[in-house]
Amino acid sequence: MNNPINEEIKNNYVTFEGLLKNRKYTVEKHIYLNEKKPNRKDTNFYNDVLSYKPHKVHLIIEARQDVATCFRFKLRCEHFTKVPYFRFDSDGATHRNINKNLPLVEQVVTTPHFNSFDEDGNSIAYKTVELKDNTTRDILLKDISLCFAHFCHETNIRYPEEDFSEVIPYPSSMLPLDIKYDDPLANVDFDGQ
Amino acid sequence: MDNKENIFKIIKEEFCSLWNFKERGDTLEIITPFSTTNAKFISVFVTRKTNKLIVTDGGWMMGGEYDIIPDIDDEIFYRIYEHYLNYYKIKVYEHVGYKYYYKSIDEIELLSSLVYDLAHFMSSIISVSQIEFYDYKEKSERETFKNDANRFIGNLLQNKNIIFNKELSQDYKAVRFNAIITQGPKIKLVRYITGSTTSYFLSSLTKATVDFEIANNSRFNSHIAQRVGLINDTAQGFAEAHLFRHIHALEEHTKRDIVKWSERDTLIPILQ
Repeated sequence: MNNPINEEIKNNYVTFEGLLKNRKYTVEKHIYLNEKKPNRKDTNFYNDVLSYKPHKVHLIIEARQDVATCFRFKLRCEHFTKVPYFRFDSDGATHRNINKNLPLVEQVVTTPHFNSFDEDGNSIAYKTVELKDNTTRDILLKDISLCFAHFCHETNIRYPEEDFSEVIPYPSSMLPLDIKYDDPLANVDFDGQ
Repeated sequence: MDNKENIFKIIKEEFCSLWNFKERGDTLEIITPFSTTNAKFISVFVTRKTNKLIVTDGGWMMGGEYDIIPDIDDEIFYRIYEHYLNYYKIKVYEHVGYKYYYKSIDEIELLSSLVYDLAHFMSSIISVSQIEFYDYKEKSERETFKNDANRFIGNLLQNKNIIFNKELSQDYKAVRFNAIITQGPKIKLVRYITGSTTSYFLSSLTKATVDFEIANNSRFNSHIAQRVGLINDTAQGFAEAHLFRHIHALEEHTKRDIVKWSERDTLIPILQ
């Protein structure tokens, strides 16, 4: 069975914390999502290495073309652990933080949320104060660059020194006016079922 | 013991408070209390289409939203998957590369039963997907080759008129090809063959041969323009000296030479 515990992170938590907390730099002011995600034609994609030593850390950004509020930021360090070690999900599945000391209702973390790992190598999700506040959350989700800056705060990424890169996923005319989660079934007719 | 009714009330109240929702245009996402063994809560989507109420996974399950894509190429997993699919009477609908699992109903009074079935189905499938039925090395070999080949063929055809990992038809569900390319009334079938050991390679080769044979004996035969066995000759399990008879058997059914991954550019005139 796939081990639900990430052993690399559990056994090298200091390395994990370093990867997360040490200063990293993006290499360009404007990050263009020019590529398509492999096998997902509707998702724009960016994957490049951050300026960081001694490890090779990849920043991965995915953004749905048709839904401006649906995007992900990921950090991956392949020679440390195969899966992304930190992630932001603007939308998607709700996470469960399994913890016997936590009431069941408090184990539920809906999106948007950050995904990280605890000292035992368990995958955990959490919301920052900004994401818990609905007004601030909506302001962040309306602007992918603003949300990216929030991600950079969590992960100590900057450009060039104390500023942040901007993410350009699509023409600015497509920026959302209102927060609305996409209707995944808008154009699906189920064969008239 | 504490007041028993009170205990029951506490548990029921907490369980019920797990339900949540998001409005998505004309669709309602329901976040259910059903969870998976990779710590996700299952969401189902409810919408109305031509007077029917539809409950579906929204394309999330095979779209990778639960951090894993169920591997229906895996024989053992496929049997489990079919068991749950049949037990809960789940229907499958494919639309622009997405696969939707769903149930439909006329009356809103019966909706909860559908949500219950679909959420159970999804929770089971995602959880079972965490189990490695093959050894890790073999699973990794197959995944890597599949991704590399998908990317190569996808780029070659600019992702047009191509469906990856699809059954021949609804009545040939167990006969699957890695890529089916549609060009007018004609189709081209591609099967990837690999293995981390000679034994796994042989198994992959034999299954491909049988599936091409079944396709040739089906009503689709006259529509099949090309049959391609794409062999991963860079895999550790590829031992030509041991496999040549089986490769020959495959070629009899594909009616052409196999294509080796190291010579993959020869696919260009075949598939374009």
